[in-house]
Amino acid sequence: MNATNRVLNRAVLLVFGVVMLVAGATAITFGLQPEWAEPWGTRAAEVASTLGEPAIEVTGAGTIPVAALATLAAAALALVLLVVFVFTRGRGRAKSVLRADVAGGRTVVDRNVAEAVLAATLAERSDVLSARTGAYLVRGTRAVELAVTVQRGASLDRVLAAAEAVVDEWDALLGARVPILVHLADRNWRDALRHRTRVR
Amino acid sequence: MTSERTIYRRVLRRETHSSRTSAAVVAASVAIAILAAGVIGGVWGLLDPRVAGEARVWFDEAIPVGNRAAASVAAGVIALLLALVLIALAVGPGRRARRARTTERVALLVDDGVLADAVADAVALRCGIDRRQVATTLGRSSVTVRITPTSGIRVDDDAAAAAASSTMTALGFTATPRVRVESGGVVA
Amino acid sequence: MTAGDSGVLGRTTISARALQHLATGLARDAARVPRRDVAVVLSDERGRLRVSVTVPVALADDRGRSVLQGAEAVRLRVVDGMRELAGRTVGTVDVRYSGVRRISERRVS
Repeated sequence: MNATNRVLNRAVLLVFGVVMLVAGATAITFGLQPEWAEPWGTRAAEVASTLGEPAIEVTGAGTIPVAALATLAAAALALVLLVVFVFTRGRGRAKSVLRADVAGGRTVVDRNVAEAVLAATLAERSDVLSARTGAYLVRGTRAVELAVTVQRGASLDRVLAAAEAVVDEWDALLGARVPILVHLADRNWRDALRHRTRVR
Repeated sequence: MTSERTIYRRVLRRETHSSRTSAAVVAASVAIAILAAGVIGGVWGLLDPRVAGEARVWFDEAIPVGNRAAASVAAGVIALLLALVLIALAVGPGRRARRARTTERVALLVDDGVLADAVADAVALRCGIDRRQVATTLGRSSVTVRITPTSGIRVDDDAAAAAASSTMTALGFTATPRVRVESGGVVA
Repeated sequence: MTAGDSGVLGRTTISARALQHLATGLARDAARVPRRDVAVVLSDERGRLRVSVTVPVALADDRGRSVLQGAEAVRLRVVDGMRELAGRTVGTVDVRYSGVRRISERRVS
């Protein structure tokens, strides 16, 4: 659970897809009918030469057309935006599970408290292989994900009941009701390496 | 302050659909590589006037004029295929193999694999067969159980279907059970 | 330099370290956790004191107070204590709960 802008992900894919679509269709058309490419080619050459006329002097490199500089600048800008895009994926994690502002100050509860009360309690059960908590910001509100990996052969409704019971205790402890997502998760490669019988 | 129900609805909708982050990052990374090569090549070409000539010579040798049309078509086809994949990813729902619902207090998200294991365990127990003789697949609203019977012992289809159903409903999910018994069995 | 109850002139100064010790003691009393688990930072907020307290959650065998109630108790104790014992006005008390401690009530008597 995170706040990655999903619409932006899909928008990026769509833009690249459409660009590829247009480029591909054009390449196929001009490849199959090279005669059609000629007028476009000559017109493009004319436009390029007129655009390329304004030029500025740069010491050490001679005259450089402004159009070339503008294109490079645009490409560099696009490059920076794409890099920013890549690095802003996967945000939305919160450090705390509760933040309350009252007149006298702010009260914050860290995620490690949720981990100790929710996850650690469930992990002690024999029908639970592992449990962990995550704190997230969803539309400005803090929410907790309680991910539980269940032992093979365990009764799922019993584990769910145990999870709900531990959430009740958590509610009473906190004195506030935080949104909680109980996630009964698949085993991953690390869980496959764990032993079936746990030695306490 | 958004109500709890709205938050759960939003969270569950997100968790049951792919975020497309990995695909978008791959696409963006490829674009970054191409753009970076372009910018570096462009700056180099502006600073060193011979580069443009050399590049043209290299291009003429790599793809001689006679092959240009064919190369263009080939490149176009590849681009078109890529475009289809990208657009499909962008527009498609990307449903994940999970099921979700809300209870009175929490939101519940269950991976299909966990349910499939539980159903297989329940069916094996109910029908008195080994766990390895049961294979389960979860569809959107159905659960398919494939049983390889023990030679000489008849499999109770209805019991298997009931076991599958009750495992699902125990967690609050509904799915139509489908039981298929293989024609060939295992001897023991 | 006004004459107080004793009638003797003089100035009473309290060092920052002493204030921090005092605030830590007050927070510990209210939070009911061992002193070494309490971290307190004092800062200025537009002329008034701002006290930032970091404590673990005390898990007792009985139900006891909720975390939010406990935070209010800490807030009250610190504000009242600093005013009465050090003559300082505390404007804000931020309470941060990090970690848990299982407390078994021990009675000393």
